[in-house]
Amino acid sequence: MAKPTARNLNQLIKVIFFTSGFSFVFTAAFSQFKKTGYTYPGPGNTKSLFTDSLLAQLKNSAASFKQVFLSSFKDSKSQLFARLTGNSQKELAGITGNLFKNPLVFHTAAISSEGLLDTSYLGGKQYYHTNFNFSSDWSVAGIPLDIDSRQQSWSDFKGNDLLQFSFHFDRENYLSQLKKGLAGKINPSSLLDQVKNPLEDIITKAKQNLVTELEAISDRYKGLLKNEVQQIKMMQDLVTTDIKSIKAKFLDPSFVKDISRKQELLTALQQQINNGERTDNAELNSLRDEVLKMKALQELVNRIEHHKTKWEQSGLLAKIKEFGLLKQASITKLLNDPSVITRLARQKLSLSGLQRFFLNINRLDIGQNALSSGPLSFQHFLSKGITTELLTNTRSVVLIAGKQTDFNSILDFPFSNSPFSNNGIVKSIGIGSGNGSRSTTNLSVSSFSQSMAGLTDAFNPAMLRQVLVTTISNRLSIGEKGMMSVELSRSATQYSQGRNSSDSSTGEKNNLSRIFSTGNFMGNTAVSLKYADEFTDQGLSYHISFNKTANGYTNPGNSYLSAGSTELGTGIRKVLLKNKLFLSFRGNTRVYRYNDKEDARWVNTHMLLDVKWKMKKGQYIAFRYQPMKMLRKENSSKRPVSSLERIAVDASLYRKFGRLAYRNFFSLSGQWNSYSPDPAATMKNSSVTISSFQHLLLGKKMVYINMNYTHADNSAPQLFLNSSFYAETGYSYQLLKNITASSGLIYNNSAGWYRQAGIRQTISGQLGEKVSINIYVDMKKNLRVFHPLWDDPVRADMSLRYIINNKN
Amino acid sequence: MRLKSYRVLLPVIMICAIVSAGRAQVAITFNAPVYGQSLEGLAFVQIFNSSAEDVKASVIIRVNENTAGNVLVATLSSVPLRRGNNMLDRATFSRGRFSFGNSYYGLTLSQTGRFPEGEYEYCFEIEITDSKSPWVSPFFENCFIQQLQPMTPLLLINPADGDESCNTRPVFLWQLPSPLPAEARCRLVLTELKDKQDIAEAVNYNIPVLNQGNIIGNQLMFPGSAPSLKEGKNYAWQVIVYTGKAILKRSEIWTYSVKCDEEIKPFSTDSYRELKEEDGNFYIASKFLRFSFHNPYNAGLLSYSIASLAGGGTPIKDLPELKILPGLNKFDVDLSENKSFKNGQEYMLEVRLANNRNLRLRFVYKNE
Repeated sequence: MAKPTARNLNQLIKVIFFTSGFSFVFTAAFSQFKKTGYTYPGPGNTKSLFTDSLLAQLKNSAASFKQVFLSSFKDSKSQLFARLTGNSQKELAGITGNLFKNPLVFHTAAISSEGLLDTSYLGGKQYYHTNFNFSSDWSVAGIPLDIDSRQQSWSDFKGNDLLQFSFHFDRENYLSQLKKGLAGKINPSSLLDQVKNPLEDIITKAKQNLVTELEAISDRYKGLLKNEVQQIKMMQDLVTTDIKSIKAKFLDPSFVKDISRKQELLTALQQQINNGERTDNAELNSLRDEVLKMKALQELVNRIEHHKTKWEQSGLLAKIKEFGLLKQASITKLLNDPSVITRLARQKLSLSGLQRFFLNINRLDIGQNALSSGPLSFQHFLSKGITTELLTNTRSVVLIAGKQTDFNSILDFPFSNSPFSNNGIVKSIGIGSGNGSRSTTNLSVSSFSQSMAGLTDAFNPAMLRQVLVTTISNRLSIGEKGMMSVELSRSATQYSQGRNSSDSSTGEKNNLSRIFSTGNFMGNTAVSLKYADEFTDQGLSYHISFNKTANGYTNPGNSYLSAGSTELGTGIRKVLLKNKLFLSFRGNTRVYRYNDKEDARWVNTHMLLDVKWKMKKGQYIAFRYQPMKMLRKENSSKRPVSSLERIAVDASLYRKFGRLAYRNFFSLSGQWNSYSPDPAATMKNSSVTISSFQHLLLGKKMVYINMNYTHADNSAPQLFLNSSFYAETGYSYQLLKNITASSGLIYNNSAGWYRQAGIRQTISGQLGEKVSINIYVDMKKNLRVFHPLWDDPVRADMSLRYIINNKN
Repeated sequence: MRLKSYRVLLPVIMICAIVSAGRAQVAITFNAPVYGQSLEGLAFVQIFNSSAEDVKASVIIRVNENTAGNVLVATLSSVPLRRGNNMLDRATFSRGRFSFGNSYYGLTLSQTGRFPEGEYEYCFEIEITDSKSPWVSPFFENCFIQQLQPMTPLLLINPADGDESCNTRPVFLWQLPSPLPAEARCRLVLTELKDKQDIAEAVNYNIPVLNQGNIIGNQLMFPGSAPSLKEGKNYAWQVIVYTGKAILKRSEIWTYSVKCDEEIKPFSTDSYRELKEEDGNFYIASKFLRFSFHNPYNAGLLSYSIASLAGGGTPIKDLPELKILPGLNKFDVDLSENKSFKNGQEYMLEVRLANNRNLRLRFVYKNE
């Protein structure tokens, strides 16, 4: 076994120098072969020690291979941009073509009307609820914009329709347009040219070794294969190219057939020579050469095949494959990274001032909008106004100004006297740093001027109080997929005509001084901590969370927060047996203590255990166990308030019989409820439910049978807790070319309340290119009514949608 | 208790006095268990003006806690009291003067608008300040005692947040808040979650699939009259608990998806691998093989084969028939339908075009 030469070592050091990102792998490989010696792969010995050492290193730490690759990729990002920035010659064409000729471009619009006729809401009388929607896509000076409006109406509140508008900058679409504009201006694979293949040296040597052998074969055949060897030397993907395509290239069937024919001719000529007959020497020599070349080519291909087998056995091809996939995934990721797209667009595209400005806009919503930025700032926050986020290289600024209202849905109108109101005006500014890096920090300051608007005085200007919320949050990436987020928030409230008796001596404190007050720090503070990580290779993910919201904390930006609560939660998910078995556990304990001065609290524990066995065709069998318990602890005593246990087994089965496909979802669950509103009274209810939803599919036709039976031991006449049986059977079919329909029969029984039978009809589909329609009607007849029924057994849904496309 | 007996007796004496005089009076009622939880809830005191005229009054609301004493004094002036039943005008209430007690209770109320747990006495003092006719006594007062326990949140249980299941008619389950007024009812709303839509927008704006009110208890079997949920659709659901015209609690909003098959059709051309005459790269076909190529020739049946490289080039049988059109062609071949494909093994796709042009794609089949 040859020892490493100085030249080889120099080459290796050079590799290490130029591929700093892969230094870990190469340093490890270097130390390995220093111990064991090193040789280039020789003829028939492609599984070299060097290959072994490096591949063993890679094999033993697939994760580190990825990490090394990814870190190298990350390092090269800045170089990539430096290189791209060097190209000062910008393209002249704008991303949307002739921008100023068409400053306002209409793309598509849809007008739809959706309606619901039902009786199951409040009061039990029939009502009709409709939404009239208009949505449209536009480009304003090349900036994609959605304009939507919605009018909600309800027969119970005639003349009080709720009208909402929204203008929304479609950043996703904008990035997509930029990507299209960049197509042809950059070579995606060149994005990772800076990342050197850690196997490149091995591939080069392996290729060199093969070429050396092929040249030797060529020499033996006196240069007959010179062109072919040259072609092979020029092949970029020689190591990975399939042997079949190489055979097809050099030993084309028509060529082989032709040579076979010539071989026969040569034999015949030789026979003539043997018989002493005259032959054409030139033809004879030509035939000999061609047959010899065929033999040489076969030897050449055999040698390539031999090497390829060795490369396969050594694991080299597997590693090249892994690197190729990683590189491809990274290119895809890079091309979809908004920061990369915007920076490339700035470099490569000729954009107008407005278009350049919008490269920095991450979000712009005007009108009715929803915002979620964090549990202690804004969470599913609905407002009317403006919400925007501006980005710079590493910073972001979020600005919000709008009106918050209790009545976002017309179906909330009956609840005009709710004791908790969040009506008011919101103003907020948030500043973020570390945008795009592993650690991001955000600071937001939000002011809520709250009033008590009702339905009839929706524009009540009288301010009741002003709430100031300051939140600081940090998100930190740990490892490949780990993420830790920490949020700390404080709130302070001031009444427009209010004062605290405690403040009378020192003068009233304003909100800002309360926010920065260090006295009783936790009194008006909320904290949220979460850590989540995922190990894809091990099929493991988990999270841990802790939330505490003080009794003195309030945040109208997240109406789901509960002041006075402490919550500890965890979850773990593990996939086993080649993604067939899924285990999942989630659990949390919540403590609600609504007075810090008293030893009284509610303690709630909840767990969720899932076991799921997945099979082909979406089949599975799953088990779920959910216990939940609430206790009331007061001083030294405690009593159960409510408890619930649910156990369920679900199964989804699928079979195909020729063209027939059969699916059955089956569920069996048991539930045990106990509720003690006061120590003297306990209500218990338990039930067992069996459900089966069966479908038989033949092309576009389907027969279905749905059944659900609940047996409850509840004797009280409570509609939703009683035994019940529901059965439905129907047939789905093609009514017209693009219209499907289904017709069904229903039987419905609720013990102690009613027995009903009825029909159900649905029609849905497309009328031409522009109109789509959906109709659902469920009509039943009461066979028997045991108690006066509030539920009128008629329900209908209808939607009609018309699409307008700009064909230009 | 001393306070309680005094406060109960006072209105009785006043009612007796006024009835005996046969003159105008003001009756005050307050639903303390519901509206005594928050500062703005105090505005929902019911004031019945039995006189024959609309008057104006000044209202003082005093809230005391049994151990801490004064929690709040709210002073409202020029409160209009129309004939009949009145609630406090919200604008007038908002413009009121609020003086909070020097205690934990006063501070917490001032900061959050919510009363901490405790035993409270809510006293409403009304003095008629602007009236055309004389009143026997222009002053009325009524007090209400409440052992206040703020309600715990309404917690959803099943289907768990983000659940995906084949069940098109699931049972909904939640935990009721404690303590809960006996007359409280639940309402469940379930709506389809549209693409890119926030869950709060979905439950507030979309036409509901389920909008079930008057639910007693903590569960809802999927109503018989409602349409089954649709496969591939995502849904958002929320429960509120209410009494009369007041929402007491809203739950979080959870999502549920009906998902039976995991097969997801590709959305964009990015998912298709373009075929070339030689392919040195690797492609992973997860259940589906998606490929595209440009066909400069006529339409017809696609001539193609897939061979197992691990099996020495053995061709796979029973491949589906594919139709080829002139121009760009895209194909989705469901490999999971064919048992010959083995997870993790390599295969070679070969497409034969007219004029003997062959396109190839080497791929690894994954079915996980």
